[in-house]
Amino acid sequence: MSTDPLLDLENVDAGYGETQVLRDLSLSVGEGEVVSLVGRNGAGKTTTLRSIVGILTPTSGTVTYRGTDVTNLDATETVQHGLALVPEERQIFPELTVKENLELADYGGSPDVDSLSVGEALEMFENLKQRAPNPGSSLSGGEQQMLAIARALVGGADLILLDEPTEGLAPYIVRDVMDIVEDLNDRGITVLLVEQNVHVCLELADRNYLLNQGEIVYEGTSADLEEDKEILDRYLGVTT
Amino acid sequence: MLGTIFQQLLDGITVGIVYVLLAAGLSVIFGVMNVINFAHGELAVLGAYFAVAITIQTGIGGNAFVVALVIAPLLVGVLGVALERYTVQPLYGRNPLYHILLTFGLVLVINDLIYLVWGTGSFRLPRPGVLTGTVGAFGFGVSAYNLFMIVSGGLMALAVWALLEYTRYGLIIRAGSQDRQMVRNLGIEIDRYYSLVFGVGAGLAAFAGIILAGNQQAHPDLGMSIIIPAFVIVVLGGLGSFKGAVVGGLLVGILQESILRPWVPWLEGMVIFVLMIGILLIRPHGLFGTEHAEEGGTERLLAGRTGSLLERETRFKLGLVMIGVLALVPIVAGLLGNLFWVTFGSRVLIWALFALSLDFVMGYTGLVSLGHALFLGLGAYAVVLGLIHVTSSVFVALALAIALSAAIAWIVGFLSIRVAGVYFAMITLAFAELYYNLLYRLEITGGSEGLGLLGQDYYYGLAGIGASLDDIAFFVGPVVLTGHSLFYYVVLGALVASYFVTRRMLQSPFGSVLKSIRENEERATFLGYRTVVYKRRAFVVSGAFAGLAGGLFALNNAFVSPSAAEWLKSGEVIVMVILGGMGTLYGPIIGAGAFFGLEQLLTHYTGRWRLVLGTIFVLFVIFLPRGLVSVPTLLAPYLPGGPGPTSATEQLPEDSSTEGGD
Amino acid sequence: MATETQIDDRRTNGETVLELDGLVKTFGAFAAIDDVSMTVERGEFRSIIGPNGAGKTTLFNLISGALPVTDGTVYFDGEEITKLSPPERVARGIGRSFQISNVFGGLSVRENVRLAAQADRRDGYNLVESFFKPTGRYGDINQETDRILERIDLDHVADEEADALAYGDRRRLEIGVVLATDPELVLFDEPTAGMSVEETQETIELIEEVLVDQTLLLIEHDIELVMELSDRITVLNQGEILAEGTPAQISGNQSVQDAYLGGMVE
Repeated sequence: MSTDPLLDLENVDAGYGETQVLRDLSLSVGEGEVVSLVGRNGAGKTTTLRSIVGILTPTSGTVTYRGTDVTNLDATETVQHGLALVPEERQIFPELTVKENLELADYGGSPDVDSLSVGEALEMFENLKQRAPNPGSSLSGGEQQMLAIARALVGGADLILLDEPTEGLAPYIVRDVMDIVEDLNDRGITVLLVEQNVHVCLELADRNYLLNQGEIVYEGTSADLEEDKEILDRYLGVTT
Repeated sequence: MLGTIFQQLLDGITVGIVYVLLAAGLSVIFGVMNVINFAHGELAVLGAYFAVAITIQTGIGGNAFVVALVIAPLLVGVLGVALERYTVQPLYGRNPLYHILLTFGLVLVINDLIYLVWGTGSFRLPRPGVLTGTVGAFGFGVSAYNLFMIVSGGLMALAVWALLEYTRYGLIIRAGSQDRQMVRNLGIEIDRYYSLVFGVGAGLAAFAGIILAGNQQAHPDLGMSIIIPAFVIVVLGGLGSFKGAVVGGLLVGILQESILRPWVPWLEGMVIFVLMIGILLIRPHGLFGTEHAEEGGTERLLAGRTGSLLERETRFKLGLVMIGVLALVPIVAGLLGNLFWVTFGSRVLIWALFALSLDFVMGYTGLVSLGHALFLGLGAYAVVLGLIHVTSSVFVALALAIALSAAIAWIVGFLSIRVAGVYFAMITLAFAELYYNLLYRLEITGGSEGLGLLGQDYYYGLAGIGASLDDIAFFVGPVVLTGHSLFYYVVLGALVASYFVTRRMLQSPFGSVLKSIRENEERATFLGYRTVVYKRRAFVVSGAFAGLAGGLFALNNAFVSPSAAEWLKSGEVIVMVILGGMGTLYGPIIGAGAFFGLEQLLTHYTGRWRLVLGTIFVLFVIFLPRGLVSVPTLLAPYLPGGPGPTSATEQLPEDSSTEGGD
Repeated sequence: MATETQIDDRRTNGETVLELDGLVKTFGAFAAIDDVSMTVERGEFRSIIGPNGAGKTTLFNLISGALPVTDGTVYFDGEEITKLSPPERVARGIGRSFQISNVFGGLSVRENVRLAAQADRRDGYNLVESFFKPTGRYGDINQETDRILERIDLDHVADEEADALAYGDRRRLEIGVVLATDPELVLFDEPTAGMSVEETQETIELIEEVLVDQTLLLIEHDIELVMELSDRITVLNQGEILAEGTPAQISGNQSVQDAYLGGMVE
């Protein structure tokens, strides 16, 4: 973990209309880390990711990325800085081919010269290479997740925000996705992971934040969290 | 024989290719921006007139045709970009129906500009020499120009297809028509491409207009006549689908020109509407359309607001005063010896009633009927035919008009209320056009000549007791009230009665359900209301009052023609409702007054009053969507002692893609 | 409050009010609900829990009629209702509550409740009356409206727009609206999403108190609260019932623990 955090949220409030979802939320992610955000349904995890990439603008507080204030940037602009959200629904373009989905990410994305080319991304994901000429709508859930991650890479992301990457996937595919996340990390990409599945978090993440009712109630390494039965019980309904 | 069939097929493809170019632009514009562009036909015709300017008005003639074919679409394209930027853009994030309203306003403006610049005459675009003769093709002699249309139009369509399929812009545009927010998430400013799409669409339309004007003639109303079939094609093929536009365009072209016109001319102009209605009912997204991530239509329409500036009782008294003033019109006009204001007043009041009827369904249930002239026309013909064939009592004839309109409204409602938003608007438009075309074909309706009441004996009364208005005379001081003046009171009575009846309905359980549907339809369903039934009832009520307005419309003119049911009338009545402020019942009445008042005022200065009216309407849609009735609330903060500031456009989401919670 | 009620006033009499038999709902190849059978007794407070994506909301949609079933049968009050539309089910007594902010914001508080009461008494007036007789003149509906407004303690703000209500009052209104439809069974889908711990507690207690005579079916993520208040709990996982029983039985169930840990195969 480097001394200067790559991403830093300070006292962020955010919500939809009158409903405040995030309350005074602060967290940081160091370069090269895998950090997880766990919590129950409705705790504000997705809202946190949306506030970071600028789909939602925080009502107060600041979001800093590589020392730049990105609080008020919209989703299009944060991508240029190297942030990429892989949304929960994956949002693959159903009528574009796999290759076109990747090309589109290439047209957008950060001006980063190191970013993966479309060809390299297809080499990296064997499944996608085979499906390259097929429309997005023909992909399985796991393949869609791979494509969504591949799009982020082609777009030149240095920090990927993964929203529930394993949701709705069969256990053996969950394994594949976990391997991909580890692989990403080996390539030096920082990951902020939102998960309901505590096992996934504990295994992948260096550190974990526990979110409850829009507030951070716990922060700790996976080893610490695993040992903290009381926290697991209280906030995740996991009693042992 | 074979030669004839070949020739007919070629004619069909020739017209079809024009439709393809028009529909492709319309469709892609809808797919990417969710905008229904009513002004597309006008842009096409504008292209044709630019070509007229380049060829005829420069004196060069046919030799400049090719130059015109390049320059005119570019000019129109630039205009399209400007229109998108300055009029369409401010409306993103509102209900897509506001784009229909806006572009309808643009139709009025562009159409009148064409009249202003080029006059009422028609022009045949001179063709270059090589395209004037015939050429041999497959053993038959074929017009070289027709071949040119097919080839150049086909190449153009192919170019657009290649642009969409193989270029970076095309990929972004296709992606944008599937999921705009995700395109933004990938770091692409999709909004920057909107102007481009609109501009290219406009240029394409202009190209279509030019090649058409070389075949037929360019006249100012050409836009109005091609836009409706173009819409049919887009809806038929699937909103947003390029493939649908191509298939639909050729299908409609061949159906119209190669099959119906030569073989069953009686059905021409009707079959495509039946086809469109049928396809919408079976496949609501058209032949090749798919459901997209952002369907739009969830944003509410903006109802007029008066706030609580005036107490309920004060408003009621103000209303009574207004009725009193209106009642004085014939007397004052009599005193001044100028009966013009009486006939003018009758016309305004009839339209006010028509606007009131539309507001009942549009302002309270959010169903935007783009074909409300259907009911105006039904009522008008019912009264005239009733008085000619059935009865000599005007009251019975009006009752017939109301009953017929209500019955047809039930059928139309039954078939179309299940489709929502933009599709409902389109399907009602199709029904109105179907009826409009039927009026031309039927013998009993007198075809394009229409029917007059001249020489018919009819009376105001029931069961033989009553009199013709011309036979009655009331003396008010020195003024004699008879004929037109008495008819004015009949109309005023009908309007006031209709207002109170509809107002009463809104206070009943029925009306309160309508209001709940306007607030939140899904929620109303889960209280146990079958909202489709309530909406249909509202539509029937609306149709009935529109039928009454239509009956009075015919009586006022003592004549009826198919133009009573033309789509321009449907558009105009929407203009009135929006001008006044929808969802208030009295707003549309004020709107009708403003509409005709403005017309009266403007015709003193210019024959092209629609230009000004259209401009005002466009400004209203953009800046004052809640209408005239919202003006007091807007001004209130600036008046001494007024309530706090409010905005006519408050509660507007800033971005069309505002999404739900965590 | 006009009526003082205790939380343990809730009584069940062993009579089945809702029965699901072999329900299946598939979206394409994906089975959101896979052969679910369960019964709910009259007067019971039943909670449905399960990890995200377990199919809880889909199950509610099948019960309320918002989605058609792929296979299986829904019985209510002893009659099959599988093919009925949502309004028909509401008429039979299946009420559904939305998230709290989902009242008719532009209408008055009274009008919100009245609309619900009116929906339940449509046989009290004929079609012509429904078009022309002003709402103020339906004695029984308005009495019922007043009674409910009192019950939820909003009679003093009855004529204000619902949008103008404070957050807590809007929550009361929502529950009052549900009560006014006179339901036998009420479905609550995460009524407390986005609320703080205290607000959640208050809301659930308000539901318990106002709807003491109704059968309640609740989706809720606050496990502690669910354990405290429910008579029985059904645990869904990947579209199937994983366990069912009293709070004590559920909290000791190993497979439930695993489901909440994510059902991982290690």
